[in-house]
Amino acid sequence: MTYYNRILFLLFLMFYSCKVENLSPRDIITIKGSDTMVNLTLRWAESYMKINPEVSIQVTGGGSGNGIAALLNNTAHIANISRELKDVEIKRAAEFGVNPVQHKVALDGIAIIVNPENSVDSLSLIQLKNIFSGEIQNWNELGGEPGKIVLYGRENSSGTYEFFKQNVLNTDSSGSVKEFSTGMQVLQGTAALAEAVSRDRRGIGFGGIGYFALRDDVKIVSVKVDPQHKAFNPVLKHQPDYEIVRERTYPLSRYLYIYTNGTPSGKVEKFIKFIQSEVGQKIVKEMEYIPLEQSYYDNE
Amino acid sequence: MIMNDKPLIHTSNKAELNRIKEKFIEIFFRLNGLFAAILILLIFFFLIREALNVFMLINPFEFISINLKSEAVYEWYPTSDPARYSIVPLLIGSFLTAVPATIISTFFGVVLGVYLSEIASTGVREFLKPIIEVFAGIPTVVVGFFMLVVAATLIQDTINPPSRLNAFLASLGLSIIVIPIIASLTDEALKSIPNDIRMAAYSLGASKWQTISKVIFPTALSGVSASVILGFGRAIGETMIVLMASGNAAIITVDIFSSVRTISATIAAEMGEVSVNSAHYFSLFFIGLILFAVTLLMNLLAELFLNKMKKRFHLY
Amino acid sequence: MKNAAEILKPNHTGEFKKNFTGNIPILGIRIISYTVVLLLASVLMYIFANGIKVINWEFLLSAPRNNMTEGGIGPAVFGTLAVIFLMIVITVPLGIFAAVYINEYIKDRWLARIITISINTLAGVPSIVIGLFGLGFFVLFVGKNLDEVFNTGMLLGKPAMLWASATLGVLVLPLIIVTTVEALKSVPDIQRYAAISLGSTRWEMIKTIVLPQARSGILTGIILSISRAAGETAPLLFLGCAFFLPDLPVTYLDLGLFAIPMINPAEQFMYLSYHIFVLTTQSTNPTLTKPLQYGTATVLVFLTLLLNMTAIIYRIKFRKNLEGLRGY
Repeated sequence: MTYYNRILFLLFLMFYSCKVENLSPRDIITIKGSDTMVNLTLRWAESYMKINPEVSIQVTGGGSGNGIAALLNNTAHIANISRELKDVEIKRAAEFGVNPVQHKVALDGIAIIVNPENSVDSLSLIQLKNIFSGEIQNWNELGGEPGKIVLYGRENSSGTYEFFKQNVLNTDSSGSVKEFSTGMQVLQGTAALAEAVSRDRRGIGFGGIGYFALRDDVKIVSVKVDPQHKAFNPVLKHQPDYEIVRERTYPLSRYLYIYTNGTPSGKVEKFIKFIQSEVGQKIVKEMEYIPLEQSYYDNE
Repeated sequence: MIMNDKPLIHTSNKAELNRIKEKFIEIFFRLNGLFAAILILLIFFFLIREALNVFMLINPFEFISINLKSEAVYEWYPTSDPARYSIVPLLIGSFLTAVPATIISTFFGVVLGVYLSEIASTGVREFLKPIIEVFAGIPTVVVGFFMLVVAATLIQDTINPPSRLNAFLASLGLSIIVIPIIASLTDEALKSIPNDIRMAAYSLGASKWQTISKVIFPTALSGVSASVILGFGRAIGETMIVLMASGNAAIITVDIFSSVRTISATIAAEMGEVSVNSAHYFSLFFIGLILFAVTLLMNLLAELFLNKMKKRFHLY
Repeated sequence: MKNAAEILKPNHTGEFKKNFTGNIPILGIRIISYTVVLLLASVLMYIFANGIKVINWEFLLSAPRNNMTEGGIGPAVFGTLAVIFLMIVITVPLGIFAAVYINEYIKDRWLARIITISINTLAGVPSIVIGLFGLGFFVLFVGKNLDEVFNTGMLLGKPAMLWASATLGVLVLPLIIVTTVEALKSVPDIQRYAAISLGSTRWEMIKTIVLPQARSGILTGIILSISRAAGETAPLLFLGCAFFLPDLPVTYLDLGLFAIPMINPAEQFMYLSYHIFVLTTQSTNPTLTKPLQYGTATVLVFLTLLLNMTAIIYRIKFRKNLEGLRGY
């Protein structure tokens, strides 16, 4: 019995200490969401905490859907979301009494990657649509060596998945909405996806350029809006091509957002200010994403 | 054990006090014991409670197929519009990884179990048995990691399947976990056969192989079956290996070299990311309930087989 | 049995052919068995061979640096230990007491059967389903309601270490109960009779005779359950495992004069097994992190192997003890 008492006492102490934690002034910022942004956010958090040791920032990935869920359930201060919120989600947020406020933090291009041994260099959006919806199934239809196309994609909670669906699969002259082919292999992270494509000669996948820019074992394909348009490659010599992504000349460019519940104040506001400051945007550049404003990378 | 410990005489107050104390201690223990039983009811209750909510939002038939443009669609697209919740591809995925894994593991596991119980010398057995038990305890995430990073490339270079990550790769990974389970349980089933039976066979002039194949194995068949069933239950509920190695494409196929999406991997991949109390959230509980029911069934079956075997030995 | 086989083996020359063909299947079984064991072992060896290079104290204790491409696994080790510690605190007493009840107190056979069946069933439930239960029951039911009662905002109604530990506790409870019951069963009844006949009450008998003798058996169960919990990943995916945490989930208990550091069970945590998953699937540069992946996997495998081995050694010791007991 004394053993049990001791345990009860320990438990009591623990809960008591939680309460103390709650009252103590040490500030915690919880961030959840997009896997695309998780590494970037980590770096922001690291540098920010160096300057402000009184703040502790916790970062979790899991996908943009996770971020939205966290915002609605009020389990995070900041939700990383690599796309704009859908109308349905804003409506849902209102039901939960949450008012999501959007902050742009960086730009990103979605790169299409294939195996370096693949001879295909550029693809149009229509081709991409037909590839990922499963209508084009062989590389020889695209001018490559014959072989079944193997699709690699992300979990349906990821912002990249949604963005790709809305900007590639939904673009059509006939306006028809397509789904991803059910045969698309779903990997648990962009890193695993790059790894798979680098090993699979027939593979094709997509993801934020930050994950691929430095890699030699995957090839980034140029993308054009229409077959007759000029094709753009978001990465030149392991360096994101800032211009075409920021100007949205590259068709698969997007903003990366963070959302807060209501207009941020205090510690959260400070952190967001930091992200959008020059220091924060330098980190964006270091991580192979595209800074919000030209001035942040021009003067180097 | 002693079933009745009421003191015959209790006269002094102290004895009375002691009796009350004993009573309290017993009640305390009983609460703990009952809690374990209640826990399983709680799991059942909470799964069902959350799972049944789904029918307020989704028509039950939608879990089989949904009509889109007057065409029955069997797809798992819970975040699309309109959302599609067909569990058919997931069920197929689960079975397409668990069944081959069970077949592979049954063969190797039973052989290994027979070796341990009937052929290996006592020294070898005492050395191997713990090692095999340790294999069964390898963290599954490590197996998944190994399949994803090493074995996937190996398989690709040798067999060159259409998908790098596929059901076959996942079932190989599952086998790493299931073989030791089946081997260990088979060994126990064979060991539980009274030695007299072996002696009887030998004394009739049977060789070792004849004894094993004609006498021991048939006698222990229900025990071996139970071990296979338990192995299958383990394989179908396993998550990390299939999450990392199966490719997670929710397609309807019977090709073992195509990638598939299992029930367990779907829950693992999507649960952390749904908003609470949405149709998607409840539907994940619903497929969890299905998984629970399947494993429950397997456990009961195994129990049945084991009982059968126990009964048989009372006859001898 | 082996002796009998040898004695009875027909060994005159006329039987040679029969024996020879009879031995082929046996040989086959031997070869297949060795191959399987070697294959399984080679998986572990491969991971060890790749992982052992990066392991040193710094790797074990330091935090991940530079976007998780450098540094160590310190916080993950700490998180694993903390979760397991909490799990033990929550489950072990419960499991042992339940086992004592099952083996020493139950008089009703039906009740005993029902409880045993429930525990066996619980043991067969897949970990991912237990995870679902953990989320639905602990986090969203218990946690949310506690928050409402104590008015603590979002303190407990979110995935956190406490609930992860409790869920893992549910996962290993059957293991603890079953091994403890076995350990209790192996204490000879005659000693119980002796204790009772000397006038001790049932509780005194359990406390002084049964539990001390069953101790190493019970310990085996605890160690096995630790190993099981350390290797588990699936239920933790949605119970508060974090990708990266800058601080250890520690809080300081203010006692006025000084403060005691303490695990904070309401925090998120890093976990070794989840760390492997994250490193393989989500790191920016899988080539750079490959040594870290192997290193982490090696640490985790080594940890579980060590625990399992300890459990086995304890079990052998326990059996020897029992043989001693049976002697008189």
